[in-house]
Formats: sequence, C-alpha cells, structure tokens
Amino acid sequence: MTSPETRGVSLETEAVGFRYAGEPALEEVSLRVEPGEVVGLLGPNGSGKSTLIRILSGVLPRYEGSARVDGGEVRTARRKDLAAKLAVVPQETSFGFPFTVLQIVLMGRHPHLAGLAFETPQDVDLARAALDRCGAAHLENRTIQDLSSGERQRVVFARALAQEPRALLLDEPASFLDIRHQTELYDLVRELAVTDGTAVLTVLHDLNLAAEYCDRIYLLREGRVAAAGRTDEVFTYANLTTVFETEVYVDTNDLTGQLLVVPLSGRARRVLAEKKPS
Amino acid sequence: MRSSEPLTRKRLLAWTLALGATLALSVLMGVGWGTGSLSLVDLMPGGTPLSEQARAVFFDVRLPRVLAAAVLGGALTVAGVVFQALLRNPLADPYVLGVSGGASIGGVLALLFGFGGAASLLGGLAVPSFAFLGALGALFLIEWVATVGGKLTVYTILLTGAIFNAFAAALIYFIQTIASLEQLHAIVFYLMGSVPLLGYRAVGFLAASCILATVALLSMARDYNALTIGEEGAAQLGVDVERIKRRTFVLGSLLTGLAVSVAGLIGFVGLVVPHLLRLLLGPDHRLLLPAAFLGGGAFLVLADLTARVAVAPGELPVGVVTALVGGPFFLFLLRRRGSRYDFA
Amino acid sequence: MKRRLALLFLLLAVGCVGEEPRSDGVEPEGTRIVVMAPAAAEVLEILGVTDRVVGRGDYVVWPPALQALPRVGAYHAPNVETVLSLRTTLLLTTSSQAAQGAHAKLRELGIEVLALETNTYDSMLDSIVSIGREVGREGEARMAVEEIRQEMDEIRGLARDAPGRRVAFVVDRDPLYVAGPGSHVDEMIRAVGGENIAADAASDWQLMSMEIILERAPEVIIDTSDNGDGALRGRVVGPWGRWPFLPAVEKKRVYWVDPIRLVIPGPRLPQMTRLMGRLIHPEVFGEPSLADFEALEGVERALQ
Repeated sequence: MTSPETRGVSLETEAVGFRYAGEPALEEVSLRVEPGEVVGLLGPNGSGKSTLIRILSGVLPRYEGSARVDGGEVRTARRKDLAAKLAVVPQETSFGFPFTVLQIVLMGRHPHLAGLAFETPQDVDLARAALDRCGAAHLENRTIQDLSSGERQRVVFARALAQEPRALLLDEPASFLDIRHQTELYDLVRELAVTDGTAVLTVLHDLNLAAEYCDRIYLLREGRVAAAGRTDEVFTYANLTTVFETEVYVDTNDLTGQLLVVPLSGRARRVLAEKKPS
Repeated sequence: MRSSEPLTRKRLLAWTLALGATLALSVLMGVGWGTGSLSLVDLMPGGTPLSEQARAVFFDVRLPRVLAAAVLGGALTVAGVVFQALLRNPLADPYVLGVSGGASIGGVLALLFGFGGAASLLGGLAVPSFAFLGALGALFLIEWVATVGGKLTVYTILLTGAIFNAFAAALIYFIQTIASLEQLHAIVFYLMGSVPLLGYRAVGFLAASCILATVALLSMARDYNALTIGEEGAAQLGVDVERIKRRTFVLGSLLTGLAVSVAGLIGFVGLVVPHLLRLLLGPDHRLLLPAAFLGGGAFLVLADLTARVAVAPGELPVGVVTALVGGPFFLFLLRRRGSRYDFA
Repeated sequence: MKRRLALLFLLLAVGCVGEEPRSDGVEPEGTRIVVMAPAAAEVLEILGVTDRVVGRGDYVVWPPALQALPRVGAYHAPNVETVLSLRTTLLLTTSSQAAQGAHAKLRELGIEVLALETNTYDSMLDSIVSIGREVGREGEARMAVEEIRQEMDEIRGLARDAPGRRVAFVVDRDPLYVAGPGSHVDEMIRAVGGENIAADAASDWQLMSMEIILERAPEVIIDTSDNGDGALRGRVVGPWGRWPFLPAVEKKRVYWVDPIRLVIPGPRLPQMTRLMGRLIHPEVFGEPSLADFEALEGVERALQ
C-alpha cells in the first residue's frame, strides 16, 4: 500500500490513559496508524475519541502511557517540530478576528516559518493550491467570519493541508458538509494517504463513510478499545450493537460490494419484532 | 483597502513610514500649537531669535509633554492590541486585566500621604513610582491567582482582573472620603488621566522602556495571528501557547502600568485605536503592532493638543478628550461590526 | 464602616458637649448654631455670637474659640445624626450640591439651614448681612459691612496711582490651578492695583497650562499650593527658579503663603487685601512681615 518514497510518519499510542479531574476518559488504549493508512476512530459520545486526538496533537501533555508521532514521544516533543509533521482538523472552529480565508490558510505555514518571517510566494502558492484542492479557491478573499460552517470547515481543512502534514488527525471534519462535499473531502483524504503516504486518523460518526473510506477501524467504548481491525472485521452486528447500544442492520451493498450499516429506528424495531414468530 | 494578499516586507515598511510620518507631523503640530500664542512660525529659522521665555515654552513645556504623549499613546495602544489577542476579543482594553487598578491605588495612596505637591513645579516622581509599585503588585497577584496547574487561564485572568479593579475602585472611594479637600482634588484629577509634564530624562526612560517592551511583543506577532484561532488550534500549529500568554500578560501589564503610573487612567486609547488600525490595516499583528505604537502615539499627541487648546487659556485633562471622542466613536464601531465578533 | 464612624462621632459629640466648661450656652432666643463654613465662623465672631455655636464643620479651623467644639463632617457631607444630637437649630454652611440631600433632611426635621455663597466680594458681604439677620444682629452686621466697604475703598484709593503689576496667584500645582476672574482673590488683586494674568480664564478657579504663565510673564507670583509639614513659606523663589527669565523670579518677588491667609474668604477681607497689597505693591502698603506668610496662630494645619 505504501511506496518507499512516501513522506508519511506513523502515529501510535501504547496503553495511553487520561483523566479529567479524576474521572477516567481513556484507559489502556493502544493503537497504531501506519503511513498511507486511513484509520477510523469511532464510538458513542463520550467514549474518549476527542481526548485521544488531543493527546496525540500535544494539547493534553498529562497522559499516562505513551503516545508517539514519528517515533517521538508527544509529551516531550517541541511544539514546532510536532506541528511540522502533524496537522489537526478540529471539530469546531471559532474566529474572533476578521482574517481573510487566504490569511487563515497561510497560518498553516506557521510551523515552517521562523521568527518574524514573511510568507514567501511559494508559501502563498501552496496555500492557494490547498484551497483549490478543497474546492474553496473562490473563497480566498472572503472574511472568515462571514462564511457558513460548511465553508469554514473546508477552509480549516485547507489550512491543515497547507501545513504539508505527514500525519493527519481529523475530528469529524465533515460534520457540517453536505454529501457532495463530504465525499470530496474524504476522497481528498484518501488521496493524501495513497499518494503522499500521509497517516490519517479520523474520528467520525457516519458508519457508512467509515466503511467506505477507512482501511482499519478502532471502536472505542467508555475509554477503552472495544474492537480493532479491518473494517469488515470490526463492523459486525455484535460489535456495533454492543458498542453503540442500539439496533443496527449490517449488510453489503449490492452496487459496490462495500459494507452497509443501517441504524434501526424505533418504528423499524417494532415492525421487526412483530415479524418474529416467537 | 485591504487586499487578501499576505503581508510583505514592502507593505510593512510602507505603512511604518506612513505612520511614522504621521507621528512626526503630529509632534510638530503639538509643539507648534498651545495655550499661548507662540506658534511654529516663531521657530522658523531666519526670524527673530527666540526669547528665553519662548524657548522655555517650546522646549521645556511643550516638547517634553508632546513626546510623553507620543510614548504613552503608543504604549497604551500596543497593550490594547496584545491584550485583545490574548483574550481573543477585539473589545478588550488594557485596563481590563487589573493592573491599572493596582497603579491607581498606588498613585492615590501617594497623593493621600502628601507626595503630590511639593517636590517641583513639574510634579515629583513620587506618585508615578508608588503607582508603578502598585501596578507590579497587582501584576504578581493576578498572575499568581490565575495560574492553575502551571497554566495561565485566560478566563481566570479576566475574572481576577475584574474583581481586582472593582476592589481598587472601592478602596479609592474610601480614600476619597477620608482625604482632605485638596488631596481629593488631586486624586480626582489624577484618575481622570492627563499627560504629565515630565523632564527629558523621565521621558527618555519612559520611551526606552516602552520601546523595548514593544519590540519584545513584536517578536510574537505571528504567534498572535495563530492565537486568534484558539489556544488549542494555535498549539496545534506549533505555537508555545503558555510561553506566549505569560510573556504577553507580563509585558502588556508593564506597558499599562507605566502609562497609568505617570498619566492616570486615560481611557479609550487602548480600545479605539487598535480597532481603527485593524479596520485600516487588517488583523495581521506583524503590521498591527508597529502601527499601534506609531498610530497610538499620533492619536494621543493630537488628543493632548486638543486638550490644551480647546479651552485656552485653561486646559482640559486629556482623559476627558479621549473619552468624549472615543466613547461615541466606539459605540458607532460596535453598531457597525458588533455582530461579527465572537465572544468565545 | 461609615455607620460605626458616625456612631463614634455621636459618642464623641455627646461626650464633648457634656464636658464643656462654659455654661449651657442657650441664649434667651435659644439658638444653637452649627457652622460649616470658615467664612461664616469668622462672621459669627465679629458679631459676638460664638457662644451660641455648638458644633463646627471639618474645615472650620478659625477662630480659636471654636476649635474645641465637636466636628460634624465636611461641608459637602454634614453628618445629620451628629447635627441632630447637638440639638442644633441653625446650620450655617456654604452652598454645596453634594450636601443638598442632607440639607433637605435637616430642614424636614425642623432645623434651619442657611447655605451661603461666599466666593465673591459682593456675595461675602451679603452673607454677613444674612447671618446677622439670622442671629438677630442685623444692625451690627450692616455696620460691619459698611466698615469693610469703607476700608476697601481706602485701600483702592491707596493703590490708585500704583503701576499695574502682573500677578499669578497659584492655588495648586500638579495640577496647576490659579485664581481666575470672579474669585475673591481676583477682586483683592485688582483692589490693590494688580493685574491677574488669568483674567480671561473661564472660571474662578482655573486649570491653567504652564505655558500661559510663562508667556504672560508675571511680575509677582503668590503660591499657596505648598502645605503640610515643612512647607515653603515667605519670600523665596523655590521651584519657580526653574524659569529664571520670569520677572517675578528675577526680582525675587515669589511669595509662598499659607492659604488661610488669602484663599479662604471671610470678613477679614480688608486685612487680607492689605496683605495682598504688601505682596504686590510693597511700596504703597509696606513690606510683608514674616508672620504674614504663616498660618494664623493656633490653626490646625491639616484640614482633615
């Protein structure tokens, strides 16, 4: 899957744990993302997914266990070195100042610039290219505060791209996007993984999106890894109903042969119950 | 006016020169006009030589005061810009973090104990010294309280600052009730904010400190840009957020403390001028910070000039002018763009 | 905190009243006066009714006869409880916006409040008559006023031929305040043949810029701004030496005077004016003596 010339770096955690004010949010979580892989991180609300992302990105240094990016422990890594390799696309963004879209994307070059440097034309081209890849080139001169949440999400993704990351952490990057833009974004993610060898760890809620795009899945439940492995191995009826505590229907879709997961509504469950003879 | 093209060295230089020229022009105007009848014309070479008295007016009364105004305006505006970046709120002003409360207490106490009057006609340096000690005290206290688990929480700074300011105000009210009429007068005047008449040495010291602090803050300009997207986002872009926050808080408070110590509470400069500059130049701090120093200086020089000539032969305290101009202007700004700002 | 202070005051006041050695000074008319304005206090002395005074304001430090009396607060904030406890019937004070609430309350409780204007020469004289009327000594008051007018005319006559002299009367430095037109200080200056350099100012106590003072080159500087321990007094240049080109500094006509001598208005107007004359035109009024610069004997220096 990965070619020798890829730039990607690996992400891994080993028995990582974290407590918020004494309450354990993560316990004994070990995972690994190789360069060129797209790995999904799923689980119910409060299962610790965002916490894991924040640990890996260096925002929560007081974790137990080990978390490594490119072999280096996150806790002790220099901020700039880490940011030069790892880009994060957060779930929510807020902008208090009227920067333009291009200026926001250019901030992605921050880890690669020194001191009071000015961005070079190459930096600017890179930023523009990133915007273009995200289908947001037309937003270049707009003020970030004027954009819709979906447009903002694409800009933030472009900023991550501008960082030229060798690993990518995504926290529900497409939650505000319509299905077209969702697909475009994840296509781009796959392209980054396959072509550039970027290691991608993405948190998402959409099971089908995960099935379509992720090579491997980690299912988290109450701060622990409940299941891990290839998508078709993990997305079983048993795993999904246990972890998400709701009825689902798992099948393969006839068109592409990919897994299809359908959460069952209350009505559907009643209908099914009626159908059962015993 | 604002293109989306990123900041280049050339643009920065052009704006710095433009604002520098504006400042120089303001200083010239400030020296050329005053309560008396002496004007720039008298300074022209080839005219009648200056009498000792005219020389005193220009170089002992006007020029040091104008220079002080330039430095104070610059200091307050720079402090405003960096605190707005720190608090991620363009509506913050340098007095919101509580250091001005400490400086006021120090200054008012000095006046209460009678240091305000005698020393010299140009005002002794006792009041500013006390005030600055008060500012430092407040700075340490607030930083200590707001550091939780080794991290400086912005929210806590804000809250601590607000409480400290309220406490300072209450203490000052109490002092006002026990002060004599004369002291009361001096206290109220001090709190209104006015550009003091300092000697050149004092102005030089003030300028040197403020410029040094500004340069140190300037080195963090790009980090401020990143900080606007949030502390986590900035950290993920490689910014050493804790270090930036701490340095900003300390340096910004020092600038504010210095300004309040010598001039009292001149309002609105640290709030309105950063806003104006951001409207004109965009939010990139690499341009905004040097612009703040130069533009803020020009602003206060002109405000002080207005204070000096508006009711000649009398004088207004400059705090009155900045409030009268700044207040309505700020309301106008708020209406225009208020909905935009995220109070996150 | 304020309640406890007031209570303390009350106790003190009651205590003081009890300890007074003189007879329970209730005239047949039964007036009990509390005087808040220094000028009014002096008038009472002139009219010979200081024995009716039972309390004084914080700033009433003259005449000496009143110094032992209980204090009732500043003129802008009279302590209603203390005034009541002294069984006051008449409150003599200066008009003050801040005290209006207290004054209204006192009137409600049946105490007469006479709020006087004493800022100018004319209003000062009118006040003397008003006070005279209140204490039943109107005749004496009018006579006193007449005497004052005559003396002032005499003084003006003396100064008529003296050359005008530019005078700067400094009330406070840092901020720099001078006496402007309309103040009684200004009237005194003019009465003795001086020219107030702040004659075109907007108010009677004017915040002035140093520049104007330098430009208008005063020939005489009277500075009453230095107070407290070790204050400058007498004919000495002091900090004004920084501007050696000023005529006042060249001729060493810089005088540091205790404000009570010149700034606080009162019926001693003629004596004050003569003192002013000694400073501005010594060739007509005589040279000032050492005592002229000091506070009046027995006055509490700190006006607290």
